[in-house]
Amino acid sequence: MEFLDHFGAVFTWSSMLILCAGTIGGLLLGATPGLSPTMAVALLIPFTFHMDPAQGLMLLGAAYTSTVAGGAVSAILLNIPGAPANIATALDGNIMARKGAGARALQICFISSAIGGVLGILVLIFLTPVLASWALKFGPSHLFWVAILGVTIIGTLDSKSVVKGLLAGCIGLWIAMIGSDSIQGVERFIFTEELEGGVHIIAALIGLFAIPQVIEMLEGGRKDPRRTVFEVRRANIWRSALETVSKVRALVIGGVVGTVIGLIPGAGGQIAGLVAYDQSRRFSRNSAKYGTGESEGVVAAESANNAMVGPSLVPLLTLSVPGSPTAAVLLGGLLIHGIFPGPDLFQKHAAVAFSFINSMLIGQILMLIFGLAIAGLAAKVIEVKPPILASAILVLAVFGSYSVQNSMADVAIMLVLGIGMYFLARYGFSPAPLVLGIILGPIAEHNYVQGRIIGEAQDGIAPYFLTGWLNILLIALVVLSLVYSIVSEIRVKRQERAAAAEAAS
Amino acid sequence: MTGKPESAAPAGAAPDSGQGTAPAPAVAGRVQQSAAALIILAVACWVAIVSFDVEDPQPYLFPQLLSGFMVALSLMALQRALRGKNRTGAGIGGGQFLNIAAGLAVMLVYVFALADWLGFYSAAFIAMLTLYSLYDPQPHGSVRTWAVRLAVTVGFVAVIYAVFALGLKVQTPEGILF
Amino acid sequence: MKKIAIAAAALAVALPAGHAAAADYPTKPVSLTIAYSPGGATDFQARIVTMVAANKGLLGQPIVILNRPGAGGKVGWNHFASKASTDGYQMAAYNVPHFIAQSIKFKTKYNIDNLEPIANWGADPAVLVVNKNSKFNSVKDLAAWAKDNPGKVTVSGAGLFVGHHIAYLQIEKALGVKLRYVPHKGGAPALKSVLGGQVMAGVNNLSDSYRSRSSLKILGIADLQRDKQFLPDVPTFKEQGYDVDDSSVNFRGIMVRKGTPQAVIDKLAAIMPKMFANARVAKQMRNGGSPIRIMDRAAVQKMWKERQKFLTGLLKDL
Repeated sequence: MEFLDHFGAVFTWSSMLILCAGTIGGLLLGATPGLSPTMAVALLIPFTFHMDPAQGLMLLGAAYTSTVAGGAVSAILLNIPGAPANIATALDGNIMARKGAGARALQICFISSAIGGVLGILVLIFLTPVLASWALKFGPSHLFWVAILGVTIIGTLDSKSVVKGLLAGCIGLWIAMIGSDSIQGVERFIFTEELEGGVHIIAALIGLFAIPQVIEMLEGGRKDPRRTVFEVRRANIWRSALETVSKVRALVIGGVVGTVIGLIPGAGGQIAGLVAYDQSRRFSRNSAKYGTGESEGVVAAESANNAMVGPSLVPLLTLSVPGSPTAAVLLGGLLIHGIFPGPDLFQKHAAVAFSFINSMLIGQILMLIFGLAIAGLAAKVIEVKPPILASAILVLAVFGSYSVQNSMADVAIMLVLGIGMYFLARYGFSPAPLVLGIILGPIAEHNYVQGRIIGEAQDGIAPYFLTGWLNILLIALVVLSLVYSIVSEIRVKRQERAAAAEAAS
Repeated sequence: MTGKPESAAPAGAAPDSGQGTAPAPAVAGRVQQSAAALIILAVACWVAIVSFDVEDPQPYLFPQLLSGFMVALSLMALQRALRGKNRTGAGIGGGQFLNIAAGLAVMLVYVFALADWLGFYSAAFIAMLTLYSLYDPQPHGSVRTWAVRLAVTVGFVAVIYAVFALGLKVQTPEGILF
Repeated sequence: MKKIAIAAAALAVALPAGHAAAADYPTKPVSLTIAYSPGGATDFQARIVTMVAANKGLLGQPIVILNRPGAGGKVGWNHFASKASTDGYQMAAYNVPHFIAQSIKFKTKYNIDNLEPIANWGADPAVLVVNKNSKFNSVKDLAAWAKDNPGKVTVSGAGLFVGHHIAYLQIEKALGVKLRYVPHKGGAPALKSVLGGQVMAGVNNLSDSYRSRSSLKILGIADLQRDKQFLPDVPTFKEQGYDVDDSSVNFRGIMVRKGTPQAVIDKLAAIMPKMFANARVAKQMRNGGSPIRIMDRAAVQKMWKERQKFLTGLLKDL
């Protein structure tokens, strides 16, 4: 309970001011397409140069927690996930917003974020010593199977047709292979100079989600008789809170999946939301409603996203090993103040380490308060007239994708992918499996290549990938996931046939 | 208005739908679906050709595997489309394409010509004003319409400038204007 | 290059002449392109060493960091060598041996002949590390075991044709044994593989290894002298009788494009070493565990040439 002794440092005027500024700034940055939590934290580090270490880290901690939640705002309102983590939030959240429940979706999102986030930080506080060594056990073979496990959900994710879902996933896997590869030292599929650096996931994300959105707003032409302005109904915070808390199953799945995936270094918290969404749908009684504006989907995705934040710092704080890109940036923020994470961090710099962790805990609460405060107002965004919204999103997409790497090539890639995605969407393809392919492709391939080299040095490639309890457990999960997909596909087919027979008679 | 038209209008429209009952989703015809599948098949074949026609096959192991899957899956999609069993996706009508063509042209000119040459902010201003005006139902002849259009565009570009240039210190291409 | 031509024309109107421009250079902020992501070691150090640029007696103008990451640095350096202005207002950070090795191994738009070094701020030598529980206690142990088990010792490092890889190649040659290199996507994951026991050994940065020293054994430094500040007890390879020099040391510094006026280069070359030596910079660098090594322009020019020659030979048959 040592962390309780260090709350004093957080509850001072200057610290609270920094925390509030970090939280509000983080929410706004997170809601801007192109500004992922990693970018936001990196941009804030120079500001901490002139602060004392504890307060500098409070700013980073608060910003990290709130950008993860902020990314959900644009995902829900505009169907543009602020970061890969928020893709799953968009699947049901955006449809809720279209049905007038934008304010309610935002409230549910912030409440489940806070629940997941607090859970994750509690794991960080209490289980760090136990979990740190466990997190290190994940080697290339395990990460390879984790990626394959992710691939198995591609086919059923947000697609009515399994073939098209898988095909979209394959296109994503291929896009991920473009560029020069530092692990194998090869340059693949670089047919124009712009592709030299490969396709950055954030640029792809903006293109695939935002641009089809823009084009669809233009479909009706100048005088569109069908054009309707979305309404935004007011929502009662207490009712939203009650609704969130009643989704116990989704919260538990989100919390557990987020925590476990957050702990695995290199798996990338990017997929936590999607995996939790998929699992929650599989175990839900109203799984058919997923994808039609089911708040349970938002709860699962957002609780997982934020549950991931705390555990993703476990390997960083105890072993100085950053498990995610954001953790790597945070490492820089710690080092600049002369704080070396490691097993003795909590003895040597207890005050700083605990005020950092406590600030994230308080940050979750502040995020909830500010998030709920802006939910009603933010939801009004979708009342803006389509021509204005379309042109504004276009400009925002261009600036967002440019600012990721200061690269005009990224803007070009963003637009080309976006226009391509619009046409694909017209034929029943969906961007979510495509993005999942882009994320998982490099994880699977890099770890396969590393595993092959290590396996060859040991007893051979097959034993390396197929033996050991962790490998076998993961393979079992892969098989289970596949069997489940096939069974549910058959069930859907049977229902369709029955319905058709009924209609015919 | 969603990235996935078919899922926005579910079979039993949810009870809290604020837009009334959504119309049954239109599905593109056999010819369009088959054409789409053919294009993807062509891409898949191209990926396969590039992946197999290499000196050192080792770094191309994954692309080879993947292109195999892609060809097989797009063949399946094509076969389903030819038999008229492909029932997702509304396809593109001629009128609809004409409606979006102007918007697509603005986007392409904006990104591939103006942004780098004129400068990021002036290009954003021009692109936004053009796109907005092209699709704004208000009458083009009225002074008031143009006042609103200009005010909205200038206001939004100013916000973008405040966030990206002043707040985040992003250095955008300057071009000949700004 | 229409843009630059027009910009130059505009400048010509505003300023009397090109020569006078060098005298009161710089009159506006100067940018520094970093070919790696924000938060990485190069970015992190660049931000520290440039934080006092606006001080009187130094540049008098701030240096703005511009990250252009991708393809292990190739995207940023290609862009810099082909598109940056040559008026001294656009500089870039270099990483030796990375950019030289890449210019030898790949078709790049940059090489040591179209870039001009200004000064060097840091040097991070590679070290050979094993897990705390490893059976190897010295380089000799590792060499002996590898002799009996050729190709069985897995060694992690950050990617191909970077400092770690170069050090690995030198170590393998000096030990006269067959090892197996496992490239990773960056130094941090490579170190993680050593800590997690997925590989038997690793080549990594001195600074990162130093921070994880309680869970590692650091067997040797691939440099000419020991590191007195951080790891005074770790011997160099040379001390242990293996011929590994400082060719893999990761040097970081500032460069401009060829064609920049000599007066501007001279001015920068005089100011930058002073800036790196600033007391505040030194303190922050020490806090971050980043070893400083300040070298002037002439020394860097010599070092670049030596590396070019050495790497051409080393990478020839790869």
